[in-house]
Amino acid sequence: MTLLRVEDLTVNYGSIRAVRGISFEVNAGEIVTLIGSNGAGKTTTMNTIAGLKGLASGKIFWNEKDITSLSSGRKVREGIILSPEGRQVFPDFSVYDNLLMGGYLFSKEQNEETLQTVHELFPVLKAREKQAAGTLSGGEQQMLAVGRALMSRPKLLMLDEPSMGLAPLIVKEIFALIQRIRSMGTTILLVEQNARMALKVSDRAYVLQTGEITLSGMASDLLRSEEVQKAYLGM
Amino acid sequence: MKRIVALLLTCSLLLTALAGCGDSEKKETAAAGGTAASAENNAETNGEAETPTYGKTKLAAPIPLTGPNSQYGIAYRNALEMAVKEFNENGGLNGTEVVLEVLDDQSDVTQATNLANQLIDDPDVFAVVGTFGSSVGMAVAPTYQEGGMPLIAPNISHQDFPTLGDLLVPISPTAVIEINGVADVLYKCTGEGTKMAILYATTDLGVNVNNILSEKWPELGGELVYSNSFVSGETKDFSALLTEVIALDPDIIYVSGEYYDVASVILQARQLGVSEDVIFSGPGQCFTQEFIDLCGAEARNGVFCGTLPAYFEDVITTEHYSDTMVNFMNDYNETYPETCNGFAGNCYDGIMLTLLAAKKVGTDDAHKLVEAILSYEDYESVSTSHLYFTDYNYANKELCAYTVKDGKFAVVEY
Amino acid sequence: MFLQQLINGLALGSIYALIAIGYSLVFGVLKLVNFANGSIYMLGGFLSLVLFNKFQSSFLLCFALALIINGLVGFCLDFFALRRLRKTNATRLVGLITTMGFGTVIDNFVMLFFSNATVPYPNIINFGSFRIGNAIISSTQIIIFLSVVLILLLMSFLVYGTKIGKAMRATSQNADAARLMGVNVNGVISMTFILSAILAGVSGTLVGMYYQMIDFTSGFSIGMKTMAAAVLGGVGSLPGAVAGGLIIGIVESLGAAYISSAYRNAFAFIVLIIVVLFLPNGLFGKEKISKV
Repeated sequence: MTLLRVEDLTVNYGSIRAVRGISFEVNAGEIVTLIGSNGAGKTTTMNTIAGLKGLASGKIFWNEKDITSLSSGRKVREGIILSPEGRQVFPDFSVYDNLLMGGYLFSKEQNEETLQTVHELFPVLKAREKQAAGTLSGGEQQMLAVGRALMSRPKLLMLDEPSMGLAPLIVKEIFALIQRIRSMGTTILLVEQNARMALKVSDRAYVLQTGEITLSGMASDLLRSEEVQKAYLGM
Repeated sequence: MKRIVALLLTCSLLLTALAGCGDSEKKETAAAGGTAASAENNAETNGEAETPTYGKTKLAAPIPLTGPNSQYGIAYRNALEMAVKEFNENGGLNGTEVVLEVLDDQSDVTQATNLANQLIDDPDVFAVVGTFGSSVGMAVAPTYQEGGMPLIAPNISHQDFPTLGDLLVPISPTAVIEINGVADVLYKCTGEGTKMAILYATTDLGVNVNNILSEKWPELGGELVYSNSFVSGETKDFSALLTEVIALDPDIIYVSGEYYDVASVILQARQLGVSEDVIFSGPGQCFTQEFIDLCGAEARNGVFCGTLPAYFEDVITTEHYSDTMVNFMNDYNETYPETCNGFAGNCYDGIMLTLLAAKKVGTDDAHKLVEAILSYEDYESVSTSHLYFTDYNYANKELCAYTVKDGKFAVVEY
Repeated sequence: MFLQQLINGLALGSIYALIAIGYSLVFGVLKLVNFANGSIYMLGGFLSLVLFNKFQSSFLLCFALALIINGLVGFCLDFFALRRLRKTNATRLVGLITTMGFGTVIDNFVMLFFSNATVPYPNIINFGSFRIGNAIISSTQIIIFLSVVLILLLMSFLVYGTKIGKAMRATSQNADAARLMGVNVNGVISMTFILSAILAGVSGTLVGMYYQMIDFTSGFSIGMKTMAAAVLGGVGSLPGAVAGGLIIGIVESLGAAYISSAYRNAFAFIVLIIVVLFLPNGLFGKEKISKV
């Protein structure tokens, strides 16, 4: 069942065409990745789906319903949740308050429930509950960002560059957690520069190059493809 | 392309500058020619009467229609319109109508200077009535003088104003003349050893008043116990100053500032428990309904002095004032929503005197016009019993002194 | 006598505090200095007066109506001007200048349609004065001071004890992230402006009653000083705004009485400069924590 479908999406920054008519889809239960180098248009795509950025043309479908012009707030209500590039935690809030912000639209009871799950997945978030989020390490902030996104009870969890700026060991941990989250029933759309880890963990993937999708297919196939290996896997 | 535009702009700037130069040369020649011409005229009038010519028919008035002084500008505008209408209805300049051009200088020196530069080049304007206040007036007076344009200033009381040129006509007595008179009046009302505290605005006028009063009061026999300044319009809280003043137990608190400054001082002094015996004193700016509205009840026991009367029904109709003044007040109040006040009266005198003098000697000779204004006899002033000039262009009027009784102004005999 | 000067300073400072809170509220959420705050303060005072003079009935009712209108004006500033600028990603400077322009429009509107003179203001909250030793303190002063405390408590409760307050704080730290949580950021911002305008209206009315007069330049002349008060206390901090206001009021009063009256405004800014030299974020301001 197709959860998210993007059709011919074009997004501009002034006169710069960042995303040029891309189309892709995410099915329920999948982990789908968009890989590409800096400036390929990955974050722009994510922000546009989440409703932070307006698009120039194209459509976005959610369960085959046209949500192209929906506000970010309505999209959150639909269960489309973005953990943005650079984590974007609330630096002055405690870890606990950050997580609760994720549960802004939900009741106290619902949040208590979700919080338990999040604490299970990320024990460090319970340990550092009262600490100001701005003082956490990079890896901890990433976990906080993902945990906060989970508090929003996503049907589709979008992760923008979760590995950015993190040590390899932490990156491994993060990706393991991503798989765990999927196994709990959440569909995941991933955007990554770290192509190897992303392709290893995903079902399907698309390659984004200067705003266009140049390759797509099963992640395992792309891992083995010569083009991808040369361009993104450093071989 | 950009270079061409820059070149064109530079050229047009240069041309404008050169044009300006040309004009001032013209003016200088004209002034020189004028003096020569009037010398000739004087030679001629020894024998025959001169027929006045009215080549110029416009009278300009740069006043603050907007900005913080707009309330005064509006009073001026009303008076100007009234005067011109009446003058034209009575035949104008022997058949020619006078045109009034009112301009907004916003009481801003830059704006007023720009207007002055415009007006001195206007070939149709024979006199300028304006501006409001000494700060702006002192700044633009040289421009008008050098430009050969008579400037009749209703309420500029700076003592140096008359000295800036022979085309300048103040309608108000200078601060020196006025304050000396005020000190005399206050001393007559109180007596030897009276302790005075002075609060003055940091304007040219306020500083002037403080200097003169601080010197004169002890000379007369009183005692100066406190003197401090405030920024008129900006300082709304006088409690800091008043606490000090009240501790010194003065008999008179003199406030030199706008009516709202005086009102604030009175209200806040009462609130701080000032003695009931204290006499509050302030300038002619207080002779308005606005002042009474702000602090009528609290201003009891005050003595307010100015060179202009308080245009109130029960004050003006007393035996102290002429029918001309009563009629002026009634006409003004019937015609305009604003209440008649001294500013309007002063302005009316200024422009009417100018118009009458212009009718007599013509509008084409600036110096002749000014001399006629200064020596005009039997002018029925609407703001005083007798308006006359001494030492060429120093204005003289009698002082009006009022107290406030039951929320109304009452004449004080002194 | 010093006690009297202290009371004078606290009274003046309370007035500054009331207005400074408005600046801190808007800056706290939007990181924008609302230059129109002074004018909206003056407008609120005028509205209460004009409505009261017109309808001649309960002052409280006219006051409430005035606050509603004031809140609407604050809303319009955001909805019609600032929100559009946010959409086009304009720089902060443009927003600043827009608020300046808005303030000028309000000033001139009042000058043209209400009055260009200084008009009397009835003191409804005059319940007499009390003597403390040699000094006098009026009931009006006490009420104003209590209002400051009450407003500080109410606003603090709103910002730190309610869900919408949390949304405000989240928006302040990261508006985009707040959007991603489902917060209606535009709504939060509108609410902040409405609130700030209502507070300004309360201040304007109280001050009008205190000095028993009001004129259309009231807001303009008080604007800079109260902005300085907010910065002194730490912009964005509500208790900071109150502290800043009180400090500046006292410094200005004492400075005017004992040093120089003509330069009273200078003292306020001198204190500001000294404090900011040693505490760049103001007295209660927080160090900005940012770690990538």
